[in-house]
Amino acid sequence: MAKINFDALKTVDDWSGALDTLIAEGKAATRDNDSDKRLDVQAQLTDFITRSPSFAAPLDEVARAAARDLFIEQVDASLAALALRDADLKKATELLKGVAAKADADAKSIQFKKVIDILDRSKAALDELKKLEETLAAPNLDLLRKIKAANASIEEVMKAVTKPA
Amino acid sequence: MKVSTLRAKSFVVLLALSLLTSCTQLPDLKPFADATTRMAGAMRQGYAQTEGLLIRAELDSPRIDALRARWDSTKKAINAIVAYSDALAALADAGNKGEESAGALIASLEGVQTAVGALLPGIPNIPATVTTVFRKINGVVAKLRARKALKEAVNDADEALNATATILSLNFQELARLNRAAGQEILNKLEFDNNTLRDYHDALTAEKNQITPILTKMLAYQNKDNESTRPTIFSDLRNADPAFASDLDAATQALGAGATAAQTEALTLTLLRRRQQHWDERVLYLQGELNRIAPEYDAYQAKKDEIKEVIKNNGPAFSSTVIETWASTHSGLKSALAKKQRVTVLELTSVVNELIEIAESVGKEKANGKD
Repeated sequence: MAKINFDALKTVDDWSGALDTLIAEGKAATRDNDSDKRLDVQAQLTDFITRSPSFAAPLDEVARAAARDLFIEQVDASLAALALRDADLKKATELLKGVAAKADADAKSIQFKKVIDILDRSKAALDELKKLEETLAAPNLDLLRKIKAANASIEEVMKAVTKPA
Repeated sequence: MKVSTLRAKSFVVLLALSLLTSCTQLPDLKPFADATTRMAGAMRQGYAQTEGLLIRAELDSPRIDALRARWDSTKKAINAIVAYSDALAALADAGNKGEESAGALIASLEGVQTAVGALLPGIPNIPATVTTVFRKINGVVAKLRARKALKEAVNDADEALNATATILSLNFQELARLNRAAGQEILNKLEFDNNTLRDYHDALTAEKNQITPILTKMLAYQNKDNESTRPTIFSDLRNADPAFASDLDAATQALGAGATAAQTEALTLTLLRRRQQHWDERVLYLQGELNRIAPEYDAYQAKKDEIKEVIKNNGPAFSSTVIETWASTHSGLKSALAKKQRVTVLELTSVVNELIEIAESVGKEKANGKD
């Protein structure tokens, strides 16, 4: 769009005419949903306010209101544009999350994380069994629970050793 | 040749053959990880800055909330991309630390074995040679598994990643528009709110700037060293200060036609000094006013400079290049993984030599009946 030559504006009519031009351009930008044009008009309205002489102060109020309208229209247009792509983005994100989860699981499998974890828990259970053996003269409920846990862990070890990680 | 040595060597040959047809080099994931960090950082910073500007621009809460909700999908996509990049790095790390992982597994196994030994004495230890062979083999196997898993992950993600890159690029451009619009809105309101202050400041400055050359000329006229240029200075003074010219004309007329040059000069100097005093007082007043409004005016200027700087930096900060680079780095990674990479002779020789040494020591131990 054409730039307003603010240096050439002398009279109130000149300034008023320039403002009419900018408002018309702003309306056209909104009609065409042309964000670049809308932003350009917004910037020129700021120049208008900055450069207009004090005798054109009432026009500044109109320029200010027009600039605010253009700002709100831009926000609404951007929100609509973001909404338009939302479903596709969500779909692609879910796919990426799935791939990342599988890659994470693969990395853990290569590092034997699951087997090592089971082995460590089994060792702890076996240690408890050893303690149990030493105090078998006076068994109690707590010790019986520990025996059960130890048995379960040993079973897990057996499964892990016979299956790939 | 003893049976154990034969078995060991056969094993080594089989392993070497399998290695020959496989790939053990893992691609460099750093460029992709770095590009992901840069892209995620630029987008997160861009959003935070834009939301901050929109709040400064006094955008109503429902619209701010709507933007947060709309941007949520982009935020989640960025998080998923970072998690994906981290998962690839974890895979490569697992592949490069195959021997270490084997060591950790053996350590855990030995822990269980010790615990079992405490319950059932007489359980034999895992031979050191077996653990060493396992570590060496896993060093290679882990790389093979990691490479395969990396290839699968990158291929599976490629389409979704390219679609994400396109959408993120468009969303980033949308954010740039919002950022520019918010910046302009803040600037527009700032200029409107400070209309009176700015006009007053500009009027004071303009008047002061008009007076300064008059005073300079008045001083120059009174300087006797400027004898040759005095007529020009005098003429300029009359043009620059019409009130002085009319006062002088009236006074000269009152003096009469018979006045001497010395009398006229004395009259001129008297009027000039009186006028100079007037201008000095005026400048003093103007400067006083400028000083009085300076704190308010400087604060306005500082805000204006700051928001103009934000608008100026908006372009480079919201460049979609950072997203394009990130996507192309992923394509590069995909190409690297698609290439069949043979084991290098040096690498193969090194692994085979180590395994032969181990196998021979196993054979010797068996022959000596140690195992």
